[in-house]
Amino acid sequence: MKSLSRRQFVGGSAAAMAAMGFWASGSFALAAGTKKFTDSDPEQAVLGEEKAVYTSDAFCASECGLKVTTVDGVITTIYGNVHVPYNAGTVCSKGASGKQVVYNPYRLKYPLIRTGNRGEGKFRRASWEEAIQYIAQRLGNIKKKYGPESVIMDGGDMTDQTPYWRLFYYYGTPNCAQHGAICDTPRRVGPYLVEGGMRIEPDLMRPVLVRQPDGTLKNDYSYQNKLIIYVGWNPFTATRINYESRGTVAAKQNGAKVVVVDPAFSNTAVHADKWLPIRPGADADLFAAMLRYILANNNPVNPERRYVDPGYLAYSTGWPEFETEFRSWWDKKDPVNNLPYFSLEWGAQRTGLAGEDIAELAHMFGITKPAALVWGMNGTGHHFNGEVTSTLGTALNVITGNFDVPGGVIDTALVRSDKGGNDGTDYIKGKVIERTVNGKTVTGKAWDLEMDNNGDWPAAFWGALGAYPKQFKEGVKIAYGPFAGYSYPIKGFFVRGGNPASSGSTIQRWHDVLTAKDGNGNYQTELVAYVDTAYLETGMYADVILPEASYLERMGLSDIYPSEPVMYLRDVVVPPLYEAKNQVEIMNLLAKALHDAGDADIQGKDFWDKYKKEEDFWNEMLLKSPGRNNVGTPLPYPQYPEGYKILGTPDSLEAGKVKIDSAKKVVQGQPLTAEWLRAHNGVAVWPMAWYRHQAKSGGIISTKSKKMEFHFGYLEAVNKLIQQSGGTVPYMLQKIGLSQFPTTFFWYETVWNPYTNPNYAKYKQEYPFQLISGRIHQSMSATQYVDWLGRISGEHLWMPLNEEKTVHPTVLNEKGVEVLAGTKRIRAGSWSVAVIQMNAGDARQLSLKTGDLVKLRNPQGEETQGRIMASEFIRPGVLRVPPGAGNRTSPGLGQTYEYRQTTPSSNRLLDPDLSSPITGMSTYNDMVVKVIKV
Amino acid sequence: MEQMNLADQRGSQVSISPGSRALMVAGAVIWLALFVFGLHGLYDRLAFGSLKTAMDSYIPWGLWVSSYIWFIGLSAGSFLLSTLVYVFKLKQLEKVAPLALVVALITLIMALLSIWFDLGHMGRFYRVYLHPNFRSAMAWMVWLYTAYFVLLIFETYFALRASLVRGRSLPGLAGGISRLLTGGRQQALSEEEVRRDRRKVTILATVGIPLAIAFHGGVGALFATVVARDVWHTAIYPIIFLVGAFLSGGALFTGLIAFFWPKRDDYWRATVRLLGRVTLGLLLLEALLTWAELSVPMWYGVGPEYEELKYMLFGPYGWVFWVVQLGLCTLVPLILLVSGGKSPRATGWAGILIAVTFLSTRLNLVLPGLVTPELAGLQFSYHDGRLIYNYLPSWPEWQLLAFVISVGIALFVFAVKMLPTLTGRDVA
Amino acid sequence: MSKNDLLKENGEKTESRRGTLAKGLALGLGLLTLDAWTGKAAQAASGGGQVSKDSEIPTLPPPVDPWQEDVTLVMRQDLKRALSKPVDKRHWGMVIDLQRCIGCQGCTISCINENKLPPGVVYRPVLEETSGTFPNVSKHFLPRPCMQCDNPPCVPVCPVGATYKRPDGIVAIDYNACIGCRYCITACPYSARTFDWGEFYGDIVLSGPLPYEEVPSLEYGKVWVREAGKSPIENTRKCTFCLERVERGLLPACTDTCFGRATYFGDLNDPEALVNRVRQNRQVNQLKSELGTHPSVYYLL
Repeated sequence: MKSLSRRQFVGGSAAAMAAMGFWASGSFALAAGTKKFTDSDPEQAVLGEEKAVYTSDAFCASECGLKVTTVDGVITTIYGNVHVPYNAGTVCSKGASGKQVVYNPYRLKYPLIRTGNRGEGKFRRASWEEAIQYIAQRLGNIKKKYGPESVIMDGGDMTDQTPYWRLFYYYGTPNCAQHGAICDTPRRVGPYLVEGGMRIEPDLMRPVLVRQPDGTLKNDYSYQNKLIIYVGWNPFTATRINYESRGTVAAKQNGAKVVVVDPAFSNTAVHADKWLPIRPGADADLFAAMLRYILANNNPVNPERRYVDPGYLAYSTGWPEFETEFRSWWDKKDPVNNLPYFSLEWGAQRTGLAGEDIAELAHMFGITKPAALVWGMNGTGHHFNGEVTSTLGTALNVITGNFDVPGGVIDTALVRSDKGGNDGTDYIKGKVIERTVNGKTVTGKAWDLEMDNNGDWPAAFWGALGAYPKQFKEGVKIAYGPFAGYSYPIKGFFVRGGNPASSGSTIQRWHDVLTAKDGNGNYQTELVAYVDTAYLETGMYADVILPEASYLERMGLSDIYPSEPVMYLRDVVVPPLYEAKNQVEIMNLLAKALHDAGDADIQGKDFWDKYKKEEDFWNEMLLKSPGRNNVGTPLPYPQYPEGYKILGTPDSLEAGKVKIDSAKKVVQGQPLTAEWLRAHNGVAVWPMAWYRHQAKSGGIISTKSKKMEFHFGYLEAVNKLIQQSGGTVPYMLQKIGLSQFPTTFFWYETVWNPYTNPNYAKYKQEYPFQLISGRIHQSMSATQYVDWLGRISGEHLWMPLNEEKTVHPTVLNEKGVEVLAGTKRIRAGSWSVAVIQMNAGDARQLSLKTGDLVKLRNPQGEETQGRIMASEFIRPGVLRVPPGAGNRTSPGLGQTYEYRQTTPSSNRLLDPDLSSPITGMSTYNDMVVKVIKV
Repeated sequence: MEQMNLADQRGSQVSISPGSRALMVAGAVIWLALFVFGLHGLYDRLAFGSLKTAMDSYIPWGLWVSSYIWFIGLSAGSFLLSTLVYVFKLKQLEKVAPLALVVALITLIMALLSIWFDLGHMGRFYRVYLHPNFRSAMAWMVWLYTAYFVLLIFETYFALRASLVRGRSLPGLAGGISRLLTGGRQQALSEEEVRRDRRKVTILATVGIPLAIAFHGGVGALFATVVARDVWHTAIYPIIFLVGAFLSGGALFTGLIAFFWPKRDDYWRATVRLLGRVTLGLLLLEALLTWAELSVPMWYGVGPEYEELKYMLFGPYGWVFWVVQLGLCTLVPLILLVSGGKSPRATGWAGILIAVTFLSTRLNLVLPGLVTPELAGLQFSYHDGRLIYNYLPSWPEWQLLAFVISVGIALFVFAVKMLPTLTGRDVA
Repeated sequence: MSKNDLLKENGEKTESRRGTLAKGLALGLGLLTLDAWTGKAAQAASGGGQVSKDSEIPTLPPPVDPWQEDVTLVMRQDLKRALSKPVDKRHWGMVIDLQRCIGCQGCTISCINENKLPPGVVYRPVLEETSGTFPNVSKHFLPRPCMQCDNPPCVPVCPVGATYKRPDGIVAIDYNACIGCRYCITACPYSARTFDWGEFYGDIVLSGPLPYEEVPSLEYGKVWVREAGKSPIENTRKCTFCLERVERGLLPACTDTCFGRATYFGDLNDPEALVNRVRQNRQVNQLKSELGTHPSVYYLL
């Protein structure tokens, strides 16, 4: 911290005193009362050089546009960037806390090299040179001995992983993962299968830039929504899709009705007109019952029963097949309750809701136009059968005519701005390689060695990070594609910004595989490298740690989740503190070291010669912005041909400074650059349109057929690949009794749910509680080292139930890991910790009260412990804990670490052998437990 | 009034047994320990400001404010006791009245020290004089204390002047101090002068009665006028403060006379018995008021005061009420005063016990008004070690209190040593 | 008075809500269902015993939909108008729409950022008021800035007159006059005053300030560097509606940053100002107004 002492600060400010003349304008001279201020008051405020930078958040996936102020180079305030429509100037507590990331005493400051055993957390300080050489040398060895595919690059929870992917794709491994693989893939699978998108969100982003009849553009602030149903989706607390928070309450004031379906009374439910406390893991059941009600009661001639919009089916294929398959279940009896599948009574039995409520919900959703049915992580993303839920949910939105209509739902993945593909994907997909399979030399593409798609998870479109411990342990067995029959071990793990050892599926398994040794006493995984700003649990297993610049010290791009193409710049607010470096620098350093060590795949022209400055890298990505077709109503650019791809800055497109390529169907304006963004409030916004799926010339639907598919072309192609490769049925499909991926309506039960899956009914008595996780925005993985976020509560999950403690803080500094001599006292009740939310009635029955320490034990014998928060805001029989928030063993988390013994980790209790059959997602929310008082 | 040979008196009339010498040594050791312990608290206060206190923004007043009202009550009580002689001409206490004045002065200094240390900016204390806001009950308090302080000094001076002049002949420091205080005066006061001093004392004491009632009832009002605090905001508070002052001041004085009056004669026995009865009466009155204070708001078990008082009685620090306030400060002294009414020793113990444990009563007046959130949910809104509703004084707070007490003891011992008249040692 | 009583009194409001519904939705079952839901929602949202009706809304021009442009821009225009008037002709006030507050606590942290608040000092916490038993529960979020009372209980108690009411409605503290007695903290019925105990966020690990804690705060338009023994350390501190921002035409930090756009700020004396327009046809509540404090902060229920 020396470099930023007050002495220097004051010196700097003295030099720039006049810069803030208006502070001394004497407006306070007007103040009266008992005090008089005068113009000549010597204490009149004079600040140093104040600077505002437009940038964007990367502290969470929402990535709000920010306006960050510095005074003499120190970050002072963080406001929202009012020009970014995504957040329109607003930020939440987490967004406003960013400076505690930058100036965090616990952050990683210098490169470190391990001195103890993996997991022990003993490190010494190293130079960048030494650390980079260390990594490059081991990567070189692994590539020579096992092939580059033996290295996994995990791009982690934060955005802007592109430079690392580029490096590792050029190095030759196709195994580049990222956060999405462990986030909520079952939630995305429905939209992915049906329309090639991923994230269905309500049309709530305001303002949107809309083309007016007279050709001008106008910000539209109006809300068209009439009904919004959130199922297991809690934008107010969990993932703050920024505009959904302010949009939901605004639309509600405008007359929209809001329904929240959630076992817990979430903060979103607080503002709902109706809260339906559903039984965990029964979302698919609710959707199926709704769909049956809608199909059974639909009557095109009765305005009170006109649920299905036949017009919409014109933009789809395969619906009759889907409907027929769905209806074929109606006569079957469910062995759990002996009721016909998907009937209201069946739905009531399964969901724990009243049959009338389900009927009402279905009816309301059917007749209200526009309406939006939205499901989230907890409802779908983290349940074994979330894939069923999201597919049914997508179907419900489409057949009722709510897809991409004003006030309906928008698949944001299909409409957001493109930010390029220079992450090396093209390179790895085109790179021809040879491997010896069963004694024969086989030629294929490097991509064909990708561990998930060609191994256990052929349909996992974002990888299956939760299943990685298995691959670490057993190696990768390629089952499909040209290299079918080839095996390779996992020998290197390069993780950046991710923390699988605490949140990536079952943490015990990660511990086992990262510390596993071979017969000679060497670690089986020869390299674990960890790159981050925060020192998290995965870092404790690393051989080498590189300190990465925090998001306010580096560049990047944000384009996430909006309803229209928007691109904004993550700009450097302050240069990296200590010895942290940005991703482009790290990429170049590692590339150069690999090249110098003889890796011929890595050349200067692709790295350090090409991207001399950090900005060069991001400018290249911006070349493809916005990259969306000129489609929809109102047509974004009536002056240009409909359906053409639009590229370039908004102002050049408006001004007609474009080249139109009729052959490629491209309208090319002046390329977007970081510099352009800086000159335009940090953001580029292109016009909004709706009905973008209807364009004849190629709308936004990105399935192969360019139509909404109820006969899933994607899974059909996967099945074809499986057949061509010898027909090995993926093991998770086998577990649910399928021999191939379903290509139309499919149904399977979730796991560890005694109420919906007969295999687990036997646990009902002994393990009476369903354990689910509830995301609390301010308690997510790395977030907890930010002091301010420990000072606020959340949803009876993140509460100040800490006991009094006197601690020796641990920091990572010049000496490596240092336990400080001085003690700090943490007063009881002064710090939020992860707690176990339990229904107050259940607590009374068990003679438990808020603050009591309990153990949770699952049928597999795993345990975790934490304090009870007795709450009226949760369904009886359900326990909720914030994921990844408790039992944190890294001292880099500050006060949260100090409470590791009394805070729960739900990750310890999840079933490591079950992942969602299609996407390979860990089943974070499927478990039953019993409660034992400690 | 007969002149005494002061030099003779020390050896002959006050006999110090080996046992009491051992006690004195023990007392000195205890005092020294208290002082050193307290000195560390003083260092913490001066070096770290409020940092080492356990107070927080939701419980912004703690041990120091409580001990301040404890001391100020002792002062007011002692002073009012002295007026029984100087205004109401109660003969029995005539000999002990000057001591009561000195005790009032010392406890006033202790009170002012306590509240001064409680100020965030101790150096800005003068602002209350230069920029007072007379709408503030606290500003009134400070001005009334100042007036009381000046009055006490003069009254004490006039009450002691005759014996001070006599004390000029004392050897050592005591004589020096007497000479210093009496200026150039050589000969003894004339009877006329004594009478004039006596009249001045009577006038000052008479003025002092409303003043003491004003400032101490006013301290109660300082709390009672705060609308925001349900428990405080009651008309009984100023009365409770006053009765508490009488009780604690009277009890302290009873204890002091019982143990520190050198001559264990009939006068001593009669005086202690009288003081004991006064204390007993006040104790019963105090108990009645406490009953009123607690029973009225709690009777039907609803309302904010109920919750706050319930916390006081049955919360984590309920023992302060049950064990200390009710047990040590009420029931035990009551038993001692009733059953041991004829034993000066038992009466003295009762007095000391009440005076010392009366701090618990003061804590229970200050804290219940602060322990529950003024707005529901405040305790879960923003967390900090300084934003919690749970207060237990920190060691440095106890240490600073120890410092103040050690200063008070030192002043008392010094006064008694330097002014033999206070303990009747220059009077026949 | 509960919100249900208010709903009864304000029959017109309930009616207009139904009207919107009827427009928005089809007939029959839908309407019935939604009515039922509305009733439940109103019940769920009913607060504690601190609700009272604001009877002082002046006659104003017809309400406009502020959402035709960004409300922060509208409010900045309001500020401009207010600032062109003499200081004693304006009365800064805040309106918080509880239907829009989502409890993100962004205002709490933004305020800490803006005012460089140390540990233990908080100007605008967001309270959660909860009631009911499963499944009939309710909760609402209550951001609590300083109420800037017109009859502030904290001002008369100050023995040295260090805290005072400005003519523009702000209750201010002269840090250099404050002796740190904390009487005002006990006197505030809203716990809106907290004490600066001299701690730094850096103390949690090391000791002394982190770099951002060395940047001075600009409260009351002056430069305040926190150093031991110097103001504002050992002073009472409180929300000032970010006066120094307001006086240069910017909105208070909480208002600018508000995630649900639930906070409105402006000149209560200006009938055209958004703070007055948004209160029309809404049920308005003030915290503990029964104490007669006359807060300048209004809550829309």
